Amino acid sequence: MTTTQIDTQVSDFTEQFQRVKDEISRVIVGNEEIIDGTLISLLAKGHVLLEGIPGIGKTKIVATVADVLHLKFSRIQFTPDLMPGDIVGSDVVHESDTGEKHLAFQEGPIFTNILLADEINRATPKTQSALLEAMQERSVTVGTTTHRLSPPFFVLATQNPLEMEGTYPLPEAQLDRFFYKLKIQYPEADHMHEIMDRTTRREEPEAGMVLDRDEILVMRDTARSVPIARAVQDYAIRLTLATHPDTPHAHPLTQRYARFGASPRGTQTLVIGGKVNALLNGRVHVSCEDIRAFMLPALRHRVLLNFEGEAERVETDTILEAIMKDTPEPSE
Amino acid sequence: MSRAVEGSTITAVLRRIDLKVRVNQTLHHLSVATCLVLGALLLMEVTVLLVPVNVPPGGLIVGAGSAAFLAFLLWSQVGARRLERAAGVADQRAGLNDEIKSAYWFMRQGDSSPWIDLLVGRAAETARQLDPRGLVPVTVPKRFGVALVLFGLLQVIALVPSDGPLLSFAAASDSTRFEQAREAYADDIRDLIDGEGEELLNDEALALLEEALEELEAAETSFDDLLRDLREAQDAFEEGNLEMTATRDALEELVEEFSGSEELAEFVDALRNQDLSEAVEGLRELSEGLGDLTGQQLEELAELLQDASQIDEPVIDELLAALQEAAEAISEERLADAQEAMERVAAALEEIADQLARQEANNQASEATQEMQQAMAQQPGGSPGQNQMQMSQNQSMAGQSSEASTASPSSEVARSDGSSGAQSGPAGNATGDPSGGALELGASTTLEAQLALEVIDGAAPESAEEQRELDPEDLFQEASRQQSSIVQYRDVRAPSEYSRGSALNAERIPWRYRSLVKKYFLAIRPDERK
Repeated sequence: MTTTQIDTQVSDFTEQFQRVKDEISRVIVGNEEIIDGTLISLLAKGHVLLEGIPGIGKTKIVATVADVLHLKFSRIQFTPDLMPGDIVGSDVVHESDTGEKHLAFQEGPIFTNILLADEINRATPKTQSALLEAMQERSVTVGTTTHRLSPPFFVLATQNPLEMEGTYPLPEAQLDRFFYKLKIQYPEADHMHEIMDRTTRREEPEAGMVLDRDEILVMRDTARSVPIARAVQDYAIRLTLATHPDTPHAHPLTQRYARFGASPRGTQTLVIGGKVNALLNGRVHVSCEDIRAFMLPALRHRVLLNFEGEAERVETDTILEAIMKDTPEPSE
Repeated sequence: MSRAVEGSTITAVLRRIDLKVRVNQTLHHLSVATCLVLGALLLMEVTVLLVPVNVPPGGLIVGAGSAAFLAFLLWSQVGARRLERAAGVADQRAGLNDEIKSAYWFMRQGDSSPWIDLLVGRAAETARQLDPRGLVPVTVPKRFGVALVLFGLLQVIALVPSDGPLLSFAAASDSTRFEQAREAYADDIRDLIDGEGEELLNDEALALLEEALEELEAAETSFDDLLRDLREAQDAFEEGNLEMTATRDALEELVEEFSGSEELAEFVDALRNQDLSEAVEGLRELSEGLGDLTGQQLEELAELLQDASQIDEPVIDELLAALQEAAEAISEERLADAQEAMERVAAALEEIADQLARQEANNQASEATQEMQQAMAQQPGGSPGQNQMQMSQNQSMAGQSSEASTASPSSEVARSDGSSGAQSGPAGNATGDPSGGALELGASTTLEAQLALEVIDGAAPESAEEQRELDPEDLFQEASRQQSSIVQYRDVRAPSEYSRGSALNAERIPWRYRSLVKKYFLAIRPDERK
């Protein structure tokens, strides 16, 4: 591959990303950060946890993304009585034309490209584990047979932060498997007007298909190819280490309020997300700005507060913002 | 364009930027060094103007500052990754989002891939458009303005006429002041030793002063040692004061005994006026005129002398013995023996007169010694050491007064204040002179001071301990401290964790109780890091 081809590839990447965003924006009002974060996670081979109060468009965003990307889409509404088999599928008895009976694997809704796990914290940990294992391994094992999931496999899980009774909050280890945790905010007044205008007419806007599966896979490869200098990588590592209360890099707020910091998976998230962000800005190298751009969604669910932090209702975002502010960029 | 050409383009631009950065950095360091050196010089000049201290010459300061600056410059260049730094500066100043920095790092690594080639190519293109002069302009630090001001102040100070330190006595150290006044102290002691009536002075005191003078001339004594020597000499000078007072009292009693006698009127008047030579003369005239007295007069005189010889005053026992002999001789009409005894009385009086004169001379020397000590110690706002010295001196003086038993008891109170002791005059001499010095009350001992003393002695009042407010957490844990735990920790941990989770996740805690609940759980939490 020549530099000219790469140049073209980078331009195509940026242009395709913008096209997807524009198409989604026809349906979704505002929430640019959520849309960017969702698409970056998709291109970085990650999964997204969406958190927000009911009725602000979490499911709509996911459905629109699926529409635009021309990918197979499934939705699972998580409930306490949902079983792992309901997600991954199970072996069922089939009868052939000759009357011969045999067990055949009946695929569950997880065999898709985009999976919406709605209100994931309402299912039991056993069921959650079945999904989270598939997210990590990108395969499902039923009995003795392992079934590969077709790429791209992209999970968008949602959870409601208000109604916590009767829920099963995701354990820290499982939260770590989400590339980004995106918080959907309540729309502003201007955006509310726009939403009303779009959704209370006879015809609601619909998003068309922009990207197909192959193009997404190419974009994924392109994103991973972006080089990163050691100094910038070191910056990402320092930011991560600053979330650990026991390291010399620990930030004072971390020392006071954090129990555990982000895992190396968090640093991977910063770097890969930074690479996608660099491409979106037309660059072929990762800068410190790219690392910082999505640090909050990348690390906010990976920093665990201690008792004092929880009692003081400290937001992990507050700690991360302080770390971003106080960690100096490399000077050379 | 080849990778090598692109690399050299980037390197060339970075070198130019590095040069500018280094020039700016050197100017910055130079400005700091200049300010430091000029500041140090200014500080020294001001110090010399105010207090008498020895300071190193200005040239030495400038030389040391220059050497330190050059050493720092060399050190800062050793191991400095200059082009990497220049790349960082270029990225930061031109807002290049780490492009040059990343490209230069990959160039140094020697990595090659189409992506890296593209990055280097783009960085070279960016570097070509950079203007190092505009990006890193050489600027003269504003700190040089400060240096200029400092230099101006130095020049102004150089123009100030100076007759020595303004605060020489106030701010100079004991040792400095002592060195300067050494010669003056030696002169004072020499005057004292060689002054009029030197033969009357106490030998021991003179020996002490001579020894102190020798040490002073040989520069082998310190401020404190000299003070101690002077104090000891003063004590020696005042040794005879007690005896002198007793002698005066005895003579006064003698006067009381003789008062009313016509024959002894002249003698009594002279004694009352403390004119002992006149008294001796009067006594001798009386002795010569004994033959002219009538029997009645002789009998009365014998009786008077007999009564006077019975007073209990050991200090004049010789005189009293002679008086008794004279009385006996007169009563037995042995006039020749009586005249001889009267002559012995006169001789004893002459000796007493000599003793009193000698002690007066010693007292004058004592006063002179004390004035010297006061001059040495007298210093407005003196150091604690000096105050201590002055206080000990005053205590010594107070001790002498109490020995003499004639000084007012309140004089001791007055001298307990170290600052007023210097003005209290020669109250230490035991002459009984009530005008020895103005009495001043010392500072009263406050309750706080008394409490502090008790705390120092380890006897703090219990109420103070009781008054200390206990921290709520201390109160909470007080019970636990007083008794050993009867519940195993593992039996408490699980319910505690459960309660904590429930409280945080499920229970709605009113805001006003949140702090209390938090304190409770903080108090019982295990160390999370273990």
